[in-house]
Amino acid sequence: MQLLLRYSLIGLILFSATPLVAADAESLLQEMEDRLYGDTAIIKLAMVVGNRRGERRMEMESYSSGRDRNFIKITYPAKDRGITFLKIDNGLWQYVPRIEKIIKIPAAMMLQSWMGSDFSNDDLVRESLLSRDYHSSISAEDDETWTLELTARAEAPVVWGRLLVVLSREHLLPLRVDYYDEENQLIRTLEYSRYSEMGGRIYPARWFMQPREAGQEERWTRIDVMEAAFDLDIPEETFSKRALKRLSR
Amino acid sequence: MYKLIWHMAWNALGRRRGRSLLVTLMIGASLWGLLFMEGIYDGMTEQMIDNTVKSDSGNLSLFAQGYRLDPSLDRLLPDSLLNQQILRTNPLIKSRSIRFSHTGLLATAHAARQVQIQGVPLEEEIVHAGLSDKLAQGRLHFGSDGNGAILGHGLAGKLRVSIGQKIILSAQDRQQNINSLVLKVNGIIRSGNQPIDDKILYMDIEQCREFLGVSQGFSQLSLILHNPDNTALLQEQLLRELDDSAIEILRWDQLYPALLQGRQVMKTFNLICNLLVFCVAGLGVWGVMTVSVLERLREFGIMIAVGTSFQQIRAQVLLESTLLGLGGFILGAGSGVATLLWFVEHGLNLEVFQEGLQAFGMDTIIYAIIRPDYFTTALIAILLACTASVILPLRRLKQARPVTILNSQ
Amino acid sequence: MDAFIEIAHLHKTFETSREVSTPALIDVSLTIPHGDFAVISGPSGSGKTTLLNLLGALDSPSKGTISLGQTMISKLKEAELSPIRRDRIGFVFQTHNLIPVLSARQNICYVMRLQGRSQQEQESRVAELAGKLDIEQLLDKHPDQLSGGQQQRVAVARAVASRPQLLLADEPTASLDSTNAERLLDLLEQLNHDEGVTVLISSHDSLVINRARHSIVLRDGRVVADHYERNDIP
Repeated sequence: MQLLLRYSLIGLILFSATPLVAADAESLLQEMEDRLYGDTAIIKLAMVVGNRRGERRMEMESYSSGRDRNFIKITYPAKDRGITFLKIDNGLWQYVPRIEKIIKIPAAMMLQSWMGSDFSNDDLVRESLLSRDYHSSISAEDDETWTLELTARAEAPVVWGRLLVVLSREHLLPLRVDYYDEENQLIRTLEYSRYSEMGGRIYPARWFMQPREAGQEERWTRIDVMEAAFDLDIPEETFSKRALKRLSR
Repeated sequence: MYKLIWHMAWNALGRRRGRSLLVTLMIGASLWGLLFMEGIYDGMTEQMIDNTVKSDSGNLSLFAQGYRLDPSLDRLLPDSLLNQQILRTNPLIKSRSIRFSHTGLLATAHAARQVQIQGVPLEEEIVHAGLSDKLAQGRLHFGSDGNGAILGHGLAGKLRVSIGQKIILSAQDRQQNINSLVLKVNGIIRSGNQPIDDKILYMDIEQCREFLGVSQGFSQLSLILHNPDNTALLQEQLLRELDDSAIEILRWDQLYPALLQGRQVMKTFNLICNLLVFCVAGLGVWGVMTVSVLERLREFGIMIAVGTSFQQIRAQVLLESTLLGLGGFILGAGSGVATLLWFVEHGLNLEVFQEGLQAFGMDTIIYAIIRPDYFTTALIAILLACTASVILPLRRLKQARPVTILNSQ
Repeated sequence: MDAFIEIAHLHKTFETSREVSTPALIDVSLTIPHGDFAVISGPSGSGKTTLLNLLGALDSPSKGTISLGQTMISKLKEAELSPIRRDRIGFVFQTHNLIPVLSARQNICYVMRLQGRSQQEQESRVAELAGKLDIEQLLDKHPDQLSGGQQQRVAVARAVASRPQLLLADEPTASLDSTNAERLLDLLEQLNHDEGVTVLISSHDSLVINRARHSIVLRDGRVVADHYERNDIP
């Protein structure tokens, strides 16, 4: 979900982006992230979780402001409808209408799967900045893409040892991110596709997360962005704990 | 007279050497099994208790009032508690260690697990919890920068981390923010206490406080006594001296009632085993003695006819059965002691059942225990069984007229 | 006549089942003097063994009394009978006389040990009897290593070793050939003569009956004859 957040805002970048004239990896990444967390976004999306037994679809609305405030409301299926999530700073809360309770998700549950997907609660919350947590370099480039190699800084609290980010030169948007562990073993891949205009900008409408570890290849999570709007004013009220319950309906 | 009875009994047993030997072996073997089970099971239970006492509860543990119900970072014992006279220079206390505990999440690229963060002063904890004996891999060190961590064996396995690897610890600090920290796995311990092995992450207490935004205090003071029998006494002393509205003082068996129950269950189990041996010995001796008395009816008849009293015959039969029982006891106790001594020294390696045992918080190497009461109880059980086993045959002998016995063949 | 055993109106009935009872002895009255050598004869089932068992205090009468010396043994309890059997009566059975776990010597000494006689006394008595009975070579053998005749001689030795006043022998020659039977009878006579033991033998063997000084004949549980041969009343 961290990625969901992060890349849901990538569209932001591009709307106003004048194509970059190529630079070093650090500034590419910096530039990308600055724009990524720059402003507000309202996105309606569907999340489809699949495994050998079948697939499960959920729909939700996401409101974000900057990189550290995010409000999510589940709208489908009916049984989960009204479940809301609020991330402010370093905390994550959840409201469950069935029991009418606001739960602060404890740290211990942060890496549990978020709504049964391949994203974790932690993905939703972790304030990880690629430009802050990783050393980066351009490892390859061609006419259409840059491939950035990111290696974790020693003191950075990130689980990945290395990331490979394939960026589209045209849109300055990621096409694919490969996640490696410290032993340089590929753990998961996130692919972006179906670029189309949304909310006035080019935006990837499909993200596909595929675990690569042995035994987990049959699982996947797909996100289909259905609608997106950017740079709208979102009331401050949305990012408060009161909103969890109020906006649940 | 006793010499004659002894002589007769001994000869009677010798005359049915094979049968006597068999029943002796039978009693011996079941006693051996009993002793082996008692020693190993008691060893298991005591080890389990010892592991828990060392790695967690101590003989006594002090917590801030209410901490155990709601272990928040606001319910801490003050550092000043450690300067209290009764805790500093108490002759009953062998060692003490403070622990700063909190839950968190430990993650690698592969997996993430809930952990019990245990900030400890390492040198004290090593002595207190006997960590040196528990070290499975790596070393007991938090590194010069204090960023080293020591993980429970089960936790390390689930996260698939090895020595030297980076791990990410996340936890909510006192201000409710989730903080993350990079740590390096320096050591892996196998405490034998399953919750500890599956959950524990030891880190430097200062580092831990800083990470969680706490400037002073600790969650638990664990005390181990020179003599565990004084636990209740020390508890009373502490309850008198310390402010019990602010501090909870609990014995290990109050913290882990299941362990105490486990000990009771073992006692009951041992008693049942004794009963079983009693039955086996009783049945064995009864069978042999019944046959042996009935087939010697004519012999007893002659003895009665020439003037032997029933009391003498009863003494002889009792002696025979007691000798069988004693023989079995000596055989079983001897071989049992030898076996147990070996397992006291070398332990019983049950790695095959590792998973199951660890699920119960038991070690995979079980060191046996030998208690004198194993032998006294077993001896009593066997002697009772032997006595009981001859009641019926003797009754039969007593009820018959001498002439009937004499004429039976 | 100095009566040693007094039997008065003795009845013994065996309950063979709830309804049927078989009388084994009917109104038997006898007097046996000290030092007597008596033979009870009669056909099988005439009550010889029953009478002997009653005299040996191995069974109790249905009616009537038995006195041994001044003791009315028919009135005693089991616990009181043991010392009587031990000190005053010697018993020789038809077969299987000996305690199988003991050697011949130990068998002979058994009653003396019950009596608490000294080791020395036991040894000299064994030596004396072994000589008389010609069993010196057999002393360390166990019963199962002895022939019927040998066993019977050892049994006699045991029966008299404790110097009883009364020696009861139930068909002692039944399992012996005539040579051995004669030897056994010689022996009993000798003991009767040398040691003054009152001897009472049950038998229907004519070899035995011919040696009797006092002949008692039973038939169907009743005494049909009771007389002394050759005016040989002691």
